[in-house]
Amino acid sequence: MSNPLIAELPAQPVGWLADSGPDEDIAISSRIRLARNLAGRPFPVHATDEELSAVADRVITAAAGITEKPWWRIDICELDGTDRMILFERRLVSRELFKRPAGAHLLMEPDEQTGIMVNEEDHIRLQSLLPGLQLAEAYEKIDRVDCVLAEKLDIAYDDKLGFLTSCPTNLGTAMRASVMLHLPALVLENRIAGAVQGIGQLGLTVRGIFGEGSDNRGNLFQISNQSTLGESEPEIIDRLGRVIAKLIDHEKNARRRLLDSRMNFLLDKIGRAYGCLRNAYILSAGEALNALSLLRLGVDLKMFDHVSIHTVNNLFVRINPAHLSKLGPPATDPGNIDAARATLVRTMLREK
Amino acid sequence: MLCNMCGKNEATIHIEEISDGESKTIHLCGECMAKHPQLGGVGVSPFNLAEIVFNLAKKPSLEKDAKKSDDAPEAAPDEVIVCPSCSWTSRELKSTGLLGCPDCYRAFAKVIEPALTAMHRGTVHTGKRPRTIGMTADDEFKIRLSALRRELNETIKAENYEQSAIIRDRIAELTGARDRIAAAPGDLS
Ligand SMILES: [Zn+2]
Ligand SMILES: [Zn+2]
Repeated sequence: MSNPLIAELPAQPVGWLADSGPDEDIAISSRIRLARNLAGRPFPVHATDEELSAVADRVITAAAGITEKPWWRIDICELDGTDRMILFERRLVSRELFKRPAGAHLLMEPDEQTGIMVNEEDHIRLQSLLPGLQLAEAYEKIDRVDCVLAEKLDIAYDDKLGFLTSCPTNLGTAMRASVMLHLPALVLENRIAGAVQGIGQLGLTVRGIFGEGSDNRGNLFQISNQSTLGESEPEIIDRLGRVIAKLIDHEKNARRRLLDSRMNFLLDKIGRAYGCLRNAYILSAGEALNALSLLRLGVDLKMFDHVSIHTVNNLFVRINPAHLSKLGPPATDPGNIDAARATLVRTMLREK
Repeated sequence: MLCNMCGKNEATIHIEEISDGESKTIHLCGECMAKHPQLGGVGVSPFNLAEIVFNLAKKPSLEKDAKKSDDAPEAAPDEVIVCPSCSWTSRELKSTGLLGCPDCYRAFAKVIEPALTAMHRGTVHTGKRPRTIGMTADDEFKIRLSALRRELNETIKAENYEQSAIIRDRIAELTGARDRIAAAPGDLS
């Protein structure tokens, strides 16, 4: 059975894709995750069903009343596969949370920007996810929730190692800060590898996909801190922020260079992507994402006055399989999700 | 090239992850890709797949350093340590990269501590601490200072002078910051 709370979600825009925001054309979203565990209890991976449920009860009780509006509370174990994937596609949960046989919950604010995963890899994973480049704001938001929880719960902590986590790679601040960047011009110029080189030496991680040619999936790259121990939260956020600012500059320069000296090349790429989205009858997720990335670049560069960033943002989410199955047209050829995706995209791009 | 997951089919999808200056590429076939429907996703999804695939392999840094500590005289090669609180073993730690409970950090300190330098930029936490009720700023200061002093003793013992100098700076910074706060008029209520 479908969860009534989740039934509302697919038609709504996601909280992390704003139609306007700080540096939102290149920095898509900013996320802070904090891991916390209760002292003296086994970590979720190693816990029995009873232990998982007991931890969930304690955390959910402690979290009540922290936020202005009550949390939406979703019992992950009761959800069907499509509802789970709706949450996943909206970046509200990770797949790790689905592995728990009991006690897996999501608490989230109705605007989807703040959430608590209970019994993911750690007992508590706090998340704040904001549109654009807003790392400090995201940290402030989640820090408030964390402070209240810490007053009510006995948190596993060591003076030397910091917050104790299920995986030692998260020790210390147990904070993972990340920014998702959209870097299509650097990819078009074949400069992406150079631009991200050396980030590893700074204790940061780049996750992205740069296969051969058309394998680039949406030109999206996620930059996050790799190290969590030895630096304070503001130090980590500051260092990450400086690298992000540099990458945004690189991308802006690449866009300018393409406009100045390779206009036909740029127009051809964007025009073909738009043509594909407007006219295709079979559209795989990868093809759709790549074309949407280029369309977004065209919208960023003010080449389209008849396609709004709002439509592009909605499509980014709605082309995903679970959203498509809830919102898309019924597939004429049953099970042909690529045809349903093409129909949805054609329809949404015709609407104003 | 064959698919890294099933090892049978021709790989048609190549996913690259750059981490720590090194890039690793995963090669997948269409079939294995289809088993992970989240791949159709918005940016995040392929990243998560990369995580899943890499997690099938052992955590490289931990594994490498765990071996290093095996060679050290204090840990015999096949000695299995068991956590008294949750009965997780050092063998499970090495095969999963995960711990069983918060107390495991004490039980497996010999295995974990050498691996920390490979994973992190430092070995001592300097960030936020959970504010337990009744904890004053002065308590916090004392706890952080004693942690740093303990760390300094260890680095001196290990003759790691570079790290010792860094910690001395941190201590100076911490005590300096406190003096400044104490000197600010009307700030201590
Ligand atoms: Zn395969
Ligand atoms: Zn244990």
